[in-house]
Amino acid sequence: MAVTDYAVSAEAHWDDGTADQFVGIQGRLITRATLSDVAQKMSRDGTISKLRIRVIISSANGAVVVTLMKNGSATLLSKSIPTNTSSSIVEENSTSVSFSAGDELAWKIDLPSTGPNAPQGTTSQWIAAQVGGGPEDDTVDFCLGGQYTATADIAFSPQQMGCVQGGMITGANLGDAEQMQSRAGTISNLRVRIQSHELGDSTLTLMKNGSATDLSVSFSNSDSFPGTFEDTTHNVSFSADDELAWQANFEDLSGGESTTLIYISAKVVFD
Amino acid sequence: MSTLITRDYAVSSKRSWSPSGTYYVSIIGSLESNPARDDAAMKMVQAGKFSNLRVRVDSSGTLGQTSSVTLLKRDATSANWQATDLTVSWVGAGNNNHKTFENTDDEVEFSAGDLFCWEIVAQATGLFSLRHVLVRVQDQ
Repeated sequence: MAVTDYAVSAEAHWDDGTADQFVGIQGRLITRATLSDVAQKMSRDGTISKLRIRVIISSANGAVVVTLMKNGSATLLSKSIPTNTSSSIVEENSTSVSFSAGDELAWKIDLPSTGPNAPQGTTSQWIAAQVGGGPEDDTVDFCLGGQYTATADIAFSPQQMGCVQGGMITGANLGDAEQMQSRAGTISNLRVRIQSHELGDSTLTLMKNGSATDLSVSFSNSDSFPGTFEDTTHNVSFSADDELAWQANFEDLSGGESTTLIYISAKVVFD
Repeated sequence: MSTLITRDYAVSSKRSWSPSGTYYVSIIGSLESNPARDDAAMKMVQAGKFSNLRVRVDSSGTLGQTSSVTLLKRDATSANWQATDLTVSWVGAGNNNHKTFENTDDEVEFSAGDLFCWEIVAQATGLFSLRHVLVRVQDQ
């Protein structure tokens, strides 16, 4: 069975007593309080298992529970991080959860109530799980996840670039974002989750070897936010050694407006 | 012999480092470092191999000094970290800014339970920033 690891990484800290936090399954480990803001839609049928969590330090006032959410409901793939865990990889290897194309997955982090003991919070570095199973093992999700707010500053350019995998926008230079592919395939089903968008018409487009492709979404400040914008019509083939990146085209935001992206994902079917 | 499955693992973001020093980054997700390699390191759950390292350098660091990105490995049965041959280095210079450095010669095999992270040695008296680290992974 062919499988692959989906992971979120970056040091994150939560204080005891914080309401449930949620994070998608690929990208940067940055959590939000609203599940629907971060849940990532899957492009294939499959299973998810072998949950691993790097705990730097956990609360002394109760367990922290990490649970896979599927379409808004808790699944059986869950792990309780014991009180006072430090410098450990906590694992759950006995549970597997199936999902279907279109299902939305995220991690829920259930934090303990406030208490008298120190540490009064929990810090984690990454959460990983294995995805695979079924007849679609040549299909994966490329995801650039986390959070990025475009707003005018000294170096702001209306064109911002992102890698096709990783932890959000890399800046205005396309070459910084282009990722050379190891394997040929077809990319489609672009999904862009946007938290807010305050000015004008913008686009998010797949770039291949420096040129814009047909895989693109458009959004306007007259649309409803938060929202997920999709292109399920176009697909783009690529070869091994082709370079892929995302290009966002914003308005001039010099009036103080902003746009906040949560994730950019797409379906990839390898040849 | 089963067919090897090929794909890429990546970390990316708009990230700079200062001061000069050694930093550790996970192999999937966001290009954010941790001062402890044990915290950054991810655990593999099946055997395979890494190859084709590509590091995108935005600002190459202190003029004339060498910075590097290296895959670190800790065997499942060992407490010791070791630098692997999968590494790239560059010298801080204007013509090394906005440049991709590659190692397509070396491979690193791994077993289930092995731990991996990226070690970034940054000469950061000047501006030092990376944009992504991409590596080919092949397993069964």
